[in-house]
Amino acid sequence: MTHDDDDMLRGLIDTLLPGGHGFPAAGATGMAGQLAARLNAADTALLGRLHTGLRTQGALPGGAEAWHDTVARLEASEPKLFDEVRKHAYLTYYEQPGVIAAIRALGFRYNDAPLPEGYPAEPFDAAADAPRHARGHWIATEQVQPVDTNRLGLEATP
Amino acid sequence: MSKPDPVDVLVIGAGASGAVCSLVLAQAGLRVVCLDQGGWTEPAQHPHYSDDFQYQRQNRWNPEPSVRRGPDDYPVEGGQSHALMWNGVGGSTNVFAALWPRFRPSDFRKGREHGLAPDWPITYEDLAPFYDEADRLIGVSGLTGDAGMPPRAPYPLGPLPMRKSGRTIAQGFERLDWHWWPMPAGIISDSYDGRAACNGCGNCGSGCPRGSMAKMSITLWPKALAAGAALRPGARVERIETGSDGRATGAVFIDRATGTRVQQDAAVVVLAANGVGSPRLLLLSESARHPRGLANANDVVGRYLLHHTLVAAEIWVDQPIDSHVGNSGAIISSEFAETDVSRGFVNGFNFNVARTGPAGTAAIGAFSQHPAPWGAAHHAWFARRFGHSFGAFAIGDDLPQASNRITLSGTETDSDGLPAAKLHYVPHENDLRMMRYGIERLRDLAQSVDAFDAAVNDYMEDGVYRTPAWHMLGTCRMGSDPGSSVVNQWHQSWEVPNLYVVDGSSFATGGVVNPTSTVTALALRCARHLAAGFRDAGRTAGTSA
Repeated sequence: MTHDDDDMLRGLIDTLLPGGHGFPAAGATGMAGQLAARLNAADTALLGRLHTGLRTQGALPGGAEAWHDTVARLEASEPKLFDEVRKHAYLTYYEQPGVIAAIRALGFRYNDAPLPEGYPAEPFDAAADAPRHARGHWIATEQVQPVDTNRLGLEATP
Repeated sequence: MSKPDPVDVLVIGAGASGAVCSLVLAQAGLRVVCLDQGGWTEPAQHPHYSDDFQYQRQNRWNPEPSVRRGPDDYPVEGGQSHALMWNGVGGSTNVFAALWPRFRPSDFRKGREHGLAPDWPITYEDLAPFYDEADRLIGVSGLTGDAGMPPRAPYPLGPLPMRKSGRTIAQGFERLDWHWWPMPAGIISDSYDGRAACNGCGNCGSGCPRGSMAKMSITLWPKALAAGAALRPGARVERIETGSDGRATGAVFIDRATGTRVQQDAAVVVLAANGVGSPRLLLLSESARHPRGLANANDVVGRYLLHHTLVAAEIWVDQPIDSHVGNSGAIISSEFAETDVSRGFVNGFNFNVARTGPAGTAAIGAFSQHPAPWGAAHHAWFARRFGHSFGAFAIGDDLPQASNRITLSGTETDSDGLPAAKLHYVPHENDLRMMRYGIERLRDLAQSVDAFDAAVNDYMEDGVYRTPAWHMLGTCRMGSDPGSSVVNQWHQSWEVPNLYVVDGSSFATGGVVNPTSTVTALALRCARHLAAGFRDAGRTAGTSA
C-alpha cells in the first residue's frame, strides 16, 4: 500500500466510522492496512478504482466536512463500488479488539470468535417455553381434495 | 487411464444423501466406492476459532460457489438465484443451517389438490418410518405434540434452548393467534453418539467443527468408512459411462491430485451430487446413444428447478434479545402451510424465525440488505439495533416450471475444463402472489412484537427476483410417468435402470420446509430398497418399482 493509499483509506474509514457512543474511530483501530489487503484480495483493481473515484469526487486530502461530501458523492455516483468498500470496512471494523470491547460495554456477551466458548444457555424449559396452544392443522393423505382454482386465473407453464 | 477393481455400487457425491447411501450399502456387505471432487474439511479449517469469521463467511466460507471460487468448486452461471453448495466430504452440510422440519402429507399430493404440480409417486406414510430412522441416525432435537403435523416418533433429543429471541418471537405469534412450534433441528441439544451438545456459538452457516450439527463428514462418514465403504476425495467425475446395452458401467473421473483419469466400473451407479450437480453430470454424459444426455430422452433432466419462494424481514424490538447467539432457527410457524385459495394462490408457506447475526454481519445488513448508515449516525444506529433484532423468512412451495432449469454453460468451465452449470429461474405468477401475501404477514408479525422498525426484503432487484432461497430441487424429479419424470419411486432412472439419482433433484415438489431432512429420509429409503434387492437392482425400472 502506498502512502497515498494509506492516507486515502484512513480518511475514508474515519468518514464512514468516525467514532462515538463509546466506539473508536476506525482509523484509530489500526485497521487500514488490513482493509487494504482485503480490498486487494477481493479485486486487485479495487483500491485503484476507489482512489480514482474519490479524487474524481473531490480534492483530497481535506477536512472532515470535505471528506463527508466527497464520500456522499462517491456513494451516489458509484454505488456498487461504494457498497463493496463499505462492506469490507464494516466487517473489518467490527473484528477489532477495541470495537469488540465497545460492544461488550453495551451489555452483551460477545466473544472474539464464536468458539471455543460459544454462548451456552440453560436447556429448553418445557414448563416455561413449550407451546400451550393447540393451534395447527394438517391434511391427511387420503383427505387431500381438489381445490377450485378457476377464479385464480393460473395456468401451469409448459 | 487406470482402472481399479469393479465394485458393486459407485456413489457420486459425499454429501448427505451420498453418505447415507454409502453407509447403508456398506453395512449390507456391498463393495461401495464414493467419489467426491472436493476434500475433507478439518475442524480447524472452519472459521469459528478466528476473529475474522464474519469476513470469511463472505468469501472462502461463502455458501455460493461462484462467489467462493474454491479449487473444489465449479461455477454456477446465472444471476437470478443463488445456489447453496459445498463440494467436499459432507457436501452442503458444511454450510447449511441444519433446520430439520418434515414435509406434510399434502406436499406429496399437489397433483390431486390443484394440478399445477404433480403428485409424488410416494406418500408421506411411505416416508415417515425413514424420517424417524434418519432422525435417530443424525441426532435430531425437537418437541413432539405439534398439532400442525402428523403424529410422529419421539425426537431423539429435546428442543434446543429457546433463548430471549425465541421467547420474544413466540409471544408475537401468540398475540396473532397463529401456530408456532420449536423448530426441529439437526443440531444436538445434549451429547449424542459421542458428539458434544451445541453451545450456541451462533455461526451455524459456516458448518460446525464441534460436530454438534449434522455435518455428515463428522456424523455419518466415520461410520460408513468403518462399515467398509471406500471414499475417494479429490475425484472429479467427468462422465457416467454406459455399455452397449444402455446400462451404466461406471464413471470416469479425474484424480485431481495427479491429473490422471480413472475408470471406476460398478454394477450400480448412485448419483448424489445435488440438484445442480446431478443434472449437470447427466448432461455431461451425452453419447451417441444418449444425445441429450444420460437418462434424458424425454428432455426432463435439469428442468422443473425448484428453489422455494422466499421473502424475509429483519425486525427490531426495544428489548435486547441477543441476536448474535444460538442456532439459526428457533421457531417454525405452519399457520399458512396448507393451500387456501381465498388467499389468491395455491400452495402455502412456513415461517422460519430466528436470530440475525454478529456485529459486522448486522452492520452490513446481511439479513435485510439494509446496511447501517455511515458517518456520524452509524454508532447510534448500532447501539440502538445490535442485539435487538430477529429475522423471519416466509419460505413457500414454488410451482415447478419446465423453463426453470439447469443446463450446461457455453462459456464457463471448472478448473478441469468441464462446462459449468447454467441456472435459469423465474418465479411463477402463483409464487409472486404468495410472496406478496407473505410480506404482509411478516408486517403483521413485526406489529405483534411491538417492533420499532422492520425492513422487508422481497429480493427484487430492478424488477428481477434474485432469490437467495438456496435450495436446489426437482431437476431429476421422480414420478409415475416415464414421459414426465427422470426416476421412479425408488430413484431408479427410467432410461438407465442401474442408475439411481438420490438427492434433492429427485423431489417432485419442494414443500414449505428446508429440504435436508427429506433428502436424508429419501436416501435412506432408497438405500434400504437397493440393499434388500441388490441382485435385482438394475432391472427394468418399471418392474422393480
